[in-house]
Amino acid sequence: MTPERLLTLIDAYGADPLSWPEVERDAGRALLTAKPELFQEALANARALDAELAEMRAFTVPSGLASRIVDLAPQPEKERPLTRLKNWFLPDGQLWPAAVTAASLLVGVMVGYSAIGTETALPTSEADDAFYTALETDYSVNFEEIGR
Amino acid sequence: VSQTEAQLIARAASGQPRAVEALVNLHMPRVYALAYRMLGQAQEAEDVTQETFIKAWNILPDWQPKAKFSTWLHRVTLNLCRDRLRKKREVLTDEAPEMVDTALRPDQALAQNQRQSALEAAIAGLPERQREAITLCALQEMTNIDAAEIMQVSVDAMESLLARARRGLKAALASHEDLRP
Repeated sequence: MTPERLLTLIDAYGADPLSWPEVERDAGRALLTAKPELFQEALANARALDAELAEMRAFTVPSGLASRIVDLAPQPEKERPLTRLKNWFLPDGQLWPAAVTAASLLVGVMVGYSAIGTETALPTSEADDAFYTALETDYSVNFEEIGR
Repeated sequence: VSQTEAQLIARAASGQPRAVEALVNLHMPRVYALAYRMLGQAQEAEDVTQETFIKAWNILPDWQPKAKFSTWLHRVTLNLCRDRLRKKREVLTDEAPEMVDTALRPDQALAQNQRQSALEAAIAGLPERQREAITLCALQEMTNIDAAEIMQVSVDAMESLLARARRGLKAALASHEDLRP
């Protein structure tokens, strides 16, 4: 990292090292610490614009837009249970998948029986809850919903 | 691409309502923000946001987790915005050559508005590619690599666009300060 390169980074990305390219961040910080006097003017110059841009990040989202988009998502096809079972065991009328499935089922029952008492996985609904809770992001810092 | 994102997309592709809602909640606000920042109109931004997600719903069953989903969404959004901006320019050129653009020039807007509005006007007044670069990196907080991928330019070109954009904004804001009483 040269002083010229660091000045270029400040010129393009601003004063905050977090906005610099990740691969150059540590070297940039080190140079900044070693020779702060070389970069004071450029940093001060960049910070004013950084602050203005940061204020613009807050954003309002129109009320109801999310639900309209969700409604546009394709709905899962609902097969009748018997049709689903038939398609599962006899795809296109072939018999061999049914035989393979039956064999797998038998092995599965045997393995499952031997594992009784050692089950630690969450029930499906709880696992789902944990999965979706982990996804929840606090974007309310920058985004809020507004009425139209 | 994280395992969680791949799982979420797979669940949404199979039609699980909670997964669809989670995808929308995670990505829609930033998609809308990008569209609004590029187009400057709420209704158009909503239309583009919906078009983007219609494309997403169509591609979900065949989604290949090579790229980040957010990067793909941003690229689609940006392309839709570019199409709309290009059509607007063509309409202005083809149908109304004698029309005078009544919108304020950035310097006029700068004189009339407060500093935040002045910055918005200055961004709107930047050349399109510079506006895209500063919007993606400084406002949408994308990395330089993701932003370059979305704009389909090299990382060096992205850096150059950013530097020119920031210089342009500083100059516009400085002239705004000069114009203030």
